[in-house]
Amino acid sequence: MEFEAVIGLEVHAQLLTDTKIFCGCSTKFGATPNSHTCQICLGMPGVLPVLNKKVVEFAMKMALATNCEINKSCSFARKIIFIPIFPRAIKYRNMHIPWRNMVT
Amino acid sequence: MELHQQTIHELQEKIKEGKTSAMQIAQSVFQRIDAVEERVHSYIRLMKEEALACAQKADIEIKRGNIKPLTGIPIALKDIVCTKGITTTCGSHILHNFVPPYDATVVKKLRDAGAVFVGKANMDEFAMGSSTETSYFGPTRNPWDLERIPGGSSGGSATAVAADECIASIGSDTGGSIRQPAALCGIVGLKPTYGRVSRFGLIAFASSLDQIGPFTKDVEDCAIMMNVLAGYDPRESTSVRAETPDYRQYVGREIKGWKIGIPKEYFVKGIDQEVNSAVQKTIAVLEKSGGKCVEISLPHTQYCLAVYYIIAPAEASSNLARYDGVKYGFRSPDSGDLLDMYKKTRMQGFGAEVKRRIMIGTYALSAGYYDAYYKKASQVRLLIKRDFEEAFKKCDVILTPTTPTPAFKIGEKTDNPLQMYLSDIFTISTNLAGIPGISVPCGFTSGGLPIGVQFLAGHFEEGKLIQIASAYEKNAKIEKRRPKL
Repeated sequence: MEFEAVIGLEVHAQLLTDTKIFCGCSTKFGATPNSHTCQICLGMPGVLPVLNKKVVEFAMKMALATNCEINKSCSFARKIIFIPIFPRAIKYRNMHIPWRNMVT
Repeated sequence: MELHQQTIHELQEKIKEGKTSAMQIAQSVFQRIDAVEERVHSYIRLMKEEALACAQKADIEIKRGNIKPLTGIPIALKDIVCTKGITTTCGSHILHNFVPPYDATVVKKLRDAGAVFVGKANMDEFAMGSSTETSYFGPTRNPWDLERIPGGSSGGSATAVAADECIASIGSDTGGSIRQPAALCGIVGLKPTYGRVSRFGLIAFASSLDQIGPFTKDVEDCAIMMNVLAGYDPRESTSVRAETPDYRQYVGREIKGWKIGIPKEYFVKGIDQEVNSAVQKTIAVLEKSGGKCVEISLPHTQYCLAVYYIIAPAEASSNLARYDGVKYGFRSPDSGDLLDMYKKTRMQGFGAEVKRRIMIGTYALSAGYYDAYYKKASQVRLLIKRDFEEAFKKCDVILTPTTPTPAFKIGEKTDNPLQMYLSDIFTISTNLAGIPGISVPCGFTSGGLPIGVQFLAGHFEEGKLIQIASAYEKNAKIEKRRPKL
């Protein structure tokens, strides 16, 4: 049987923002433990995320740099995952309506 | 009249004229609570010590001439809004010991406006219910008939106002949870437009539907509360940067020439005869006041309940995933490994109705079913929203009964969830469309139970609701009764 090798890379990059993606806490490295936390990143009852504008700008730049088409609207979906390190037990994913479409 | 029986505007006048003090008002409210709370059970937790200290401070400010919109006014908070340092349970065993490290935006706004917090009001667990019977802390009783439910989910907030255990209160409305109990308890309840009031600090049930609003003794008080609550909040992505008017300016205005839409789909079989005749009388009063009633159609009304019971549980299933016993709240004491801890904590921590909705929601969102349920429901939801957009081209406001029946008996519908869901049949569409709605008392049944009428308006038109509700209140001259407790 003949196989065709199709290789994809999932590349993660830490964005150089001053604050976290869904709240106003600092991203500065080296602070004392639990000093850069708030009710939002701790997933306390009663909070919802507020998206960091800078993150959207970076995502747009990346989309333009890689020749993607930018969508006019976008949505996040929630993925439920029970792991103790996820305080909300959900992950926000850019799924049904993403930032950008690949142009093939 | 006793101090605890009065409205915000009446008490504010007396405070300004030096005829009473914040301390006297607070003491009057707590005396009333001592007399009736055991029978009504409006509160999960009373805040007497904090309230009296707050009233004392308010009196110092009053002496300095610093009187804010709610200075010295005793307010109850539904136990779904976070209060810093004060247990916030959401009516659930799983949060029975949860002490928030922060205040909700509405709590901060009310505090800044001078309010005195009386306590945390009882509610259906996680706001899931229409009768306040699903509360882990036991049911609340309707002050007009202690054998009956007060409505829900904000039942305690409604009875606290109706039984004069506070002057006004805060509730939340996901499918009718402010307007339905307001109607069944004979008071005014407003659900503002989605985005009008910040939900930062409101424990989420269904995030695309939840909204905070006030319960008050009359329409003018509703306007006073809205002046404090409304406004943009940078900590809440869905709060809108819309201009907030002075809602009090709409009180006392006439409604001459207004077109009032009567949706034919809301006047069908199943409505209690006495409710129907009270609503017909309301229509007559409004026509006498210069309003003109026009028949309108909201053709997708029949799908509202089905759409709601996909969307609300779906969102709830992800909002409630965080209650896992790891960080705060209840953790099952007899759990073994991690998976066992999750299972037992959630099994023992949530009540039956919450578990039912988590299961419905998880099913509707699971791989392979998403398109058939959540996506389809979202599409139909858009049609329901368009129905209202079309209708508001033909009328200024829409009038409907708030509920199909007056308050039912405790235990009457607990074994039949579908029957229970039907009690929100007239209020759910408002949340799906994101528009504001108000319930105003419009009479009593022959058995002495209150009846409510609901007005709906377009997005951010709370002013119109206050105007028509106030005109109706003035012209209808509904007999002023108080529950005999």
